[in-house]
Amino acid sequence: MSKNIFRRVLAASAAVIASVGLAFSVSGISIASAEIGSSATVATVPQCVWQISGASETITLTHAEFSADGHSKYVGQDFGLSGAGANTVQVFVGPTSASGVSTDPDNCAWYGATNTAASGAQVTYALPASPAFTSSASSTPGDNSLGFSLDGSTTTGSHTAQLVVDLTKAGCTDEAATTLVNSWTGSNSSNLKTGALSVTAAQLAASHTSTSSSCTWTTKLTTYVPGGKTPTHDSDTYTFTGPTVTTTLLATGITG
Amino acid sequence: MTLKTQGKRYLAGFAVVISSVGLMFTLSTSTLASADSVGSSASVGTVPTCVWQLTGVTDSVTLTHPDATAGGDTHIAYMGKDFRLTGNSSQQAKIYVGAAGVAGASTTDTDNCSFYNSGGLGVSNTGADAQLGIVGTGTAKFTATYNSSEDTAMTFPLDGTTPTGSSQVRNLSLTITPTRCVTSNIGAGSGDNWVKESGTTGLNATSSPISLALLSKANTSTTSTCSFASALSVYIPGGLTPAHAGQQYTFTGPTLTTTLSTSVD
Repeated sequence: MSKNIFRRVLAASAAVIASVGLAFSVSGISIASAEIGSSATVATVPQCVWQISGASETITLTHAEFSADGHSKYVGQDFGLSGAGANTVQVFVGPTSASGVSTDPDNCAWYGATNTAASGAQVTYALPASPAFTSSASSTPGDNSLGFSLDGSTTTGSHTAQLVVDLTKAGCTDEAATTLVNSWTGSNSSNLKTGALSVTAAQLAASHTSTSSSCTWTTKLTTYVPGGKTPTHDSDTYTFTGPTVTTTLLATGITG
Repeated sequence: MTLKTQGKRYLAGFAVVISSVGLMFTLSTSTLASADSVGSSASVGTVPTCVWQLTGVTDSVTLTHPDATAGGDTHIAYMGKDFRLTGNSSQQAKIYVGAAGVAGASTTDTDNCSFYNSGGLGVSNTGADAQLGIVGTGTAKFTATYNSSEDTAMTFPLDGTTPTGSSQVRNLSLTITPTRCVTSNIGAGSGDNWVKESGTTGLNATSSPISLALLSKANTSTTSTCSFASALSVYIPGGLTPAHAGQQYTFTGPTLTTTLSTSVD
């Protein structure tokens, strides 16, 4: 067909070609001609954004050291409490509609800039000023006689009054789609307390950010009810409430 | 709300407000940040407070005259000679650590109670000292009555002296026999750091009170205990002449008081 298009066939008859521009002056004959056009339909991918999920939860702490200290209840000695979160925290690049990490490099685009010009991301964990655990007795709500501050002091059992945040990371990659290069940084174990209220849990520089960068982890918290405290209502069960650990995702200015 | 339903926070070039526990962030078009929060909670039991306790010291001991084989003599009645009377307490006196109201120190659980606020070592905040004394030492005596009336001729004081006509000191002799005194009562028990009375002690107006058993603060645990049996003996001194010879007399001894002190280092 295209050959036919690029041929112009003039009937076997007398013809006069006047000039370039193909002005024909034909008389008494029949001719055929065609033109070239073009069109296309092109899809675009969504805008890439950094996202975080799974970071909102309440972690229940229990005493897991019975085999070590032999105490199932608080007896005035340091009493360890620890617990693992049920959630998997995910920090990832994707379209706003994404529910998790994608292995598709074209799942989104940073538009207007190359991926290397896109911002990296930083996730921080932070305690409020004057962090503390408060206590409440089963018989008398508001009995804070066993409450304690996370002030970094040394307990009677030679522990430090702090909240230990342990992160077990998995699947942290620059580009999940094609490589397993992991340029993520950040602390996997942090001792949060007065004077050390925040920590960078995970960070990826802009130069390593792709359209499928991601990092995931689970969280474990550990602290000690310090020894030497006297419950106002001995024999009661006390409920402890820890400070809010704020997880913040910053996705601007993380260059490098 | 849609964002919460999706369980995530996302960043984009438009204003977003995210509220979480105690937190509210306003995100502008130029500040890309979001925040969530991790809370924590725990439920922790506590044990009762440890207290020192004393039991088995309320009793009324009946004294009888032992025969010759038990240290007495062949007389069955007072004949103007030293006349011995003896008796055993039916109670086991016991000093112990435990939660208030328990019957004795635990034999299985060091966490049955806690002294709390004792430096976190769970050792103790006090030791204990049990002392036994005669009430009214200045007038300590055995009072003799016949037909509910005192016969002062037969009443005799406990003054630590040996009167004419007698070969015995006028004491109330207390014999203490420790049965189980341990620093820790768990299982077979630990060593014995108690400083305790043992053998026979003569109580009188000047020797009372005596320390029955003492445990220092440093040696006190949550299961410390000391128990002992006690026996009394006394001589009706020889040389007394009853106003109602041939009659049955009742002799009433002094009241002995056991006091537990817990302000012991």
